[in-house]
Amino acid sequence: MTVPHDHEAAEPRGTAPSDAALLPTPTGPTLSLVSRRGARHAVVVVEGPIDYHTTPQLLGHLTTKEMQEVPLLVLDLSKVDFCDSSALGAFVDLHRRRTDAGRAFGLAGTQPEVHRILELTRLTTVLPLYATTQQALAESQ
Amino acid sequence: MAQHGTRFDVSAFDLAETVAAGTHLRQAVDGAGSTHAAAQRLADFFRTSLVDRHGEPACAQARVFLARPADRPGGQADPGWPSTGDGPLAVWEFGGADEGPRTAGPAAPHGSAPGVAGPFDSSLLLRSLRDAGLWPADGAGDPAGEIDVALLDPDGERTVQRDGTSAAVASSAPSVPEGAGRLLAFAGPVHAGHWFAVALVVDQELPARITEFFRPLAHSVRLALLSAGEHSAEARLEAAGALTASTEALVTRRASQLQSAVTELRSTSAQLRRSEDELRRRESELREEAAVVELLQEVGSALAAELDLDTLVQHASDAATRLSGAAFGAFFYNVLGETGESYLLYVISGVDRSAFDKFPMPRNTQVFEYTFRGLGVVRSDDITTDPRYGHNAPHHGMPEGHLPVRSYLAVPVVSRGTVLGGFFFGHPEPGRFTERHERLVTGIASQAAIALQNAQTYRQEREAAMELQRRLLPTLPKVDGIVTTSRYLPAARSRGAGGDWMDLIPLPDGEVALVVGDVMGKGVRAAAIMGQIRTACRAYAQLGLAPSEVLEQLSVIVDDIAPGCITTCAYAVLDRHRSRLRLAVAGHLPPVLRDAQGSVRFLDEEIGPPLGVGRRAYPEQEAHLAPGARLLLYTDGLVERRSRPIDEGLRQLRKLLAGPVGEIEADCDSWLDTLAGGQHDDDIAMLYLYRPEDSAHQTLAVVREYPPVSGAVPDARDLVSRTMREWGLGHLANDLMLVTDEIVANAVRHARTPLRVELRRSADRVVLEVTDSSTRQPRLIVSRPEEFGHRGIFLVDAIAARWGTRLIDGGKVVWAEVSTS
Repeated sequence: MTVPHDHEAAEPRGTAPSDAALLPTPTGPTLSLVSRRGARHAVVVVEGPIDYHTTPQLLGHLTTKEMQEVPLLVLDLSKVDFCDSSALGAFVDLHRRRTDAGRAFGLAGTQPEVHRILELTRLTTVLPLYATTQQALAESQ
Repeated sequence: MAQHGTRFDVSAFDLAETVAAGTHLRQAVDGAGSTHAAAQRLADFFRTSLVDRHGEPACAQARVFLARPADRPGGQADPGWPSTGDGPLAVWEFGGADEGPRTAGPAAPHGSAPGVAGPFDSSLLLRSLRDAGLWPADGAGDPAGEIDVALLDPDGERTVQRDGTSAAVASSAPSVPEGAGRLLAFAGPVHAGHWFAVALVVDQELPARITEFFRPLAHSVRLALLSAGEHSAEARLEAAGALTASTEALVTRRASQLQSAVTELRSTSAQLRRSEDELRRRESELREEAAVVELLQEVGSALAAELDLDTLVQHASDAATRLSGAAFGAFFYNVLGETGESYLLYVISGVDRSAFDKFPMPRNTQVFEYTFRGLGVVRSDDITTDPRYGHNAPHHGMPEGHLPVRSYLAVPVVSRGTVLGGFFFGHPEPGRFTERHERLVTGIASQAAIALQNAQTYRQEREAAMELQRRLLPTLPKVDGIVTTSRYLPAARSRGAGGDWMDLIPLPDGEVALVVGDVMGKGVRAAAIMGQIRTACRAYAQLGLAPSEVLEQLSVIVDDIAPGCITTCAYAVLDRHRSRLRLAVAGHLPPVLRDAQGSVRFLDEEIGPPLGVGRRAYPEQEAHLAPGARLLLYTDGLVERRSRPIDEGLRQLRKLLAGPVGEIEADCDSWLDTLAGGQHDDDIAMLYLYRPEDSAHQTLAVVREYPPVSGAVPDARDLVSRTMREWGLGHLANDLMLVTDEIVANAVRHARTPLRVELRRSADRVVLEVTDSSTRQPRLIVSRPEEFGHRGIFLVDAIAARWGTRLIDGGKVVWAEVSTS
């Protein structure tokens, strides 16, 4: 059983893909990013997969002067069901930059699939993880 | 270094000094004519050649004593050794130059009266020697029968070095004359009944271990005395042998001492954290010089042998960066593209490549131009103060965020007047690069130039040959009822073409012919003959001839078109039900069959002679190919290697087929990896066939192509997720999604060519393949593992049962397999 609009593997194996000009360009999903500011913190609720395609959007959102200078930044990941290594790279980078600048960072509400990847890469010991946003705010201040 | 010309510093006397001093000593005595003249020259040598750390003579007194028993008239036996005096011993003493008044003449026996004037009484010296066992006692006959060295000190304690053991022995004898500092003495027999002794009164404290280094010198003295005395060649040979043995013993001991010093430093450093730096410094000093020499040699031969451009430039860059002591280094090099355009690539050593990713390629600024035009070496203690620095817009110097560079060294790589590239080294502190660094890097640059030229020539030839091979080996067709794949790999270091081939020929009546063959010889000629034989084989196959008849006809053809060119071949026909296999083999390695239960056998019952021996009948054998069976036809390159007998290779192949098998593409790749591992001496052809258990379990496949945009990543993920659910494998969807995500993102990020995602399912596994067209681009290797994207490959490795890459026509495939059972 194959998906209807995919072409069957009829062309010979062992050749490179064909001309790019004829291929449709997938646009891909975008993230929904909702930010809440507190006096000394910001919470960004992320919704959607964080991957190679959407990571630049997330980083763009977080590199505004306001976001950079807030003493505590919490990413609420409770609506994120997928992360790849690009996302992990972004988290590690954010964490390091903020720590170097004396500012706090946390990930809240990681879902099982995301948590599995964090464990596989041993990042659970590096990144500050919290069960909920409330807990992150309570423990970080 | 303790050695200055022919002067040797006794405070830093080591192995090199021992060897050099021995040589100079024997040269000094050369042509002396008599034993006495030789003894005088020896005394002069020790007086003038041994110096202290300021270069002043180290020996206040240097005395050479010769002795023989007075009751043995030596004059008759030894004309170079005149006999005077009487009593138990006849003794002569020789003083070194510039010691003040001296005479070379007989000393009184028993050391009772000095024969040479000097600061210290000769009789005292002789007594000290006697007490140390280095000189015959009164009437005691021969002293110790072998050469010995002793260091005596004024406290009445002496250290005697004998046969590599050192012992402090309290002496009851009167000590060395007061104020004498140290007395270094060595003595031994010259030949039967004749002795020599050398006493050196040194003004400074000497380390006890110096005796060890003077042992070979003592042997040199003996050899010199023997040579001057016109003794037999045999005696001199024996003395020379003793000298060599003693030197060898010293070298061995020193080597093990250095080794144990290094070992000791290591173990100590664990306990003494504070002194760790000091220990490391000493250890690295010991190793540094050796390492530099080793590295230069290693780099030279490694570069000469390296034909793969990417590996070559990275290797050269890493080595040059290490040798120059730079914080980081880069090698920029020109590559000719397919259509002749030249483009600039680079590798980085010492830091992560990402430190440079964000900058554009360097331009011909005033600083860089000098190197890119091949005008010469630029070495600057501080490039930011160089008059050429900072003149070019927009940055006027290093761009913001560039790693800081003060010390700068750049060396062009030039071959036959063409600039091939350039080495650039930087260090954040000024004044780091010396003339020595410049020389070392220039050495590597000239080796790299030759190697680059070789690699480019090789690459062009190999590509041309591969192109020919591609035309001769067209893609195999798909056949109902069986799943097949094939591989062709030219020999790892060949010029790309070879005589191996494989073929899969659907026959008119629904049967299918399977062929693997090997034309002996290499290169384009073998490939051309192969092309003809393969065409002939196809023609006979289409006639519906039996395997034995096809081989018989081919044998005649080979004899005809390439007489004397030995060719082997395995030809099989599979019936329309895909269950009965008829096989004939002409001198070829037997195909191997794995039945559905996993037992493996070689089809080697009937093997005929190779093709090209004229018309003759070939025997045939039959085998049953049950559902679930697998069949592999291959050429000898797969199992034969210079370093491994063919039997061993066949045993390994049998073991691999008997082991876990899965998707045929992955099987092929992993077997090739295990058996050949990129080290195969000969080209390899493989034809691999699987008869699926039933049509319900036949391979299902989904394929989609993408342009290299980031949107391909989520789209491919969704495709895989949906397909896995349709296949009833939803529980594995997350694993496959993550693997797909990482591999596709990697292709988008690095290959930047259109890519194809293919997901295939077989009985017990799912295979994902991502194909791109990026072999044209040399892969840029980063020295350190902290590369961005490292985590992605780590995730693939953690989740997939197996994964790998393989090069294909005009691109490469990255694949990963997940088990469904």
